Amino acid sequence: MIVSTKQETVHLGEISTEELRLVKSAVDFVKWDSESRGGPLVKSLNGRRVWQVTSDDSRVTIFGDECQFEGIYMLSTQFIANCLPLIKLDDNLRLSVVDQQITATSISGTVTMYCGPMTDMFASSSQANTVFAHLPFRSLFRAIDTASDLPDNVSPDALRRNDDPPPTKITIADNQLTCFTDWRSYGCQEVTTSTFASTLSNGSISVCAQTLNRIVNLFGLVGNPEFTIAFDPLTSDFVEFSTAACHIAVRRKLVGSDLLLKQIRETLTGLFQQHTVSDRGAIAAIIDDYPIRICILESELTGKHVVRLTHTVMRDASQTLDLLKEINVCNQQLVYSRAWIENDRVILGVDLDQNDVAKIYEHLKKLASDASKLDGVLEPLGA
Amino acid sequence: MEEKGNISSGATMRRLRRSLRDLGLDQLFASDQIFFDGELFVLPKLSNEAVSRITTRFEKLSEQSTAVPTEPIKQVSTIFESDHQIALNKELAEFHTVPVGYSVAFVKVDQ
Repeated sequence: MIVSTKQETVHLGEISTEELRLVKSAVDFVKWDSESRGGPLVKSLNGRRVWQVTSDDSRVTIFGDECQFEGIYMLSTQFIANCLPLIKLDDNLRLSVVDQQITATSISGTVTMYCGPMTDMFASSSQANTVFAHLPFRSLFRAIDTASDLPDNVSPDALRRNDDPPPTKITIADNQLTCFTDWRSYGCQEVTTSTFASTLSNGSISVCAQTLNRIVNLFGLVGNPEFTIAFDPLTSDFVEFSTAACHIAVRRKLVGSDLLLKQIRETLTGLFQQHTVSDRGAIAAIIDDYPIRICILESELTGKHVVRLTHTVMRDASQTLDLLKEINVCNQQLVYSRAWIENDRVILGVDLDQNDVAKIYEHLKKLASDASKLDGVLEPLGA
Repeated sequence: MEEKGNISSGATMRRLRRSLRDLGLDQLFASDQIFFDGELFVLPKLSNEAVSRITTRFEKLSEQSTAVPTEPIKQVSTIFESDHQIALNKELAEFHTVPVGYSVAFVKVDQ
């Protein structure tokens, strides 16, 4: 660090074209606008320059060349964009900061802009990944690009109908990485791609197809470096793509049972219904003073989901003939809900198709209403 | 509105019980609030068993201390939330058979 007599100059080192292009790619990927007040952060970590570009849904870390300086600096996205024309005339840029002004210098001249206050917002990954695939950059990006690229023949009507891009499911298993996107809602066909990889453990996770495709189209790397993809299917919020030069974490897209659980929890929370979620994902909610269990089931044949709502009407029940007859009468009289005995409990339940989850609260109310009709009816018969 | 009073003695508790009894269970089912000792009690829909439980709980509290903590509405609310939580935990703890051809789905749980 060189200290001038008047103001302190902090040298951020020499930036190569590849490093600057990666930072620009990260900035374009996160898509900050002038209102968001975001910008790439840069600091020196273990003698190396490290950049970080983050948003709620993604986090990109770029590992630059060797460099030693103190503090963390936030640059503007426009400054990074303005550096690109400058570096075209040279192989390197030198960055220096003086009194909240950052200057990029090449043989052709300089560009100087405001450099934001130092912040301490560097994020580090804390998720425990269990599934890994190692494979070359070109193989990975080819598999992702082909699966996530919007089909050529999509009609404007189909685009209007599908404002939420589909998920691309990434599966790592048995020395293969597979990407799958279902474009049928766009009037197109499903696409599955695969490539060889060195894998550890098996699992799947989904990411928004558009997000994946933007990674492929924005991040260019020199050569064919080895990449690692890592995640945990049950606990990860992000899928992590990393190589020696960069680490890209993108938020997973919840699909299937994960999405159903999220929708159910949001409904109950939105309606201020007291509820608890077990570590296996079963929910118990109080609806009109009746505790109701909500469990997501998956068909072993089709993979489709059913949501089973149950209320325990009676515990410690004896399976007397009178009780069984009364349960039969109840089943004749009830619509949708059905009662049955499980061990020593009388259960009242109803199964919902996964497409009916949006109306789950109506079904919960109906089940609570049916449960109230059985209040005090069965106890004398099964005592 | 009358001056607010705190539940502070066994005698007050007996008055509360008398007041609850005077209201009658039918009325309790229809009404979600009672006015007692200058204080408004907002009650959820109470079953016979629940009314019995709450008065017993208040009796125990009054026996344990000569000055029961103030804000009886909070006490009522806490008792019911606690009872609900016990019921919820019981629902989650019990084993439930799944239909033939189905299994419990693996899900990502954010606690």
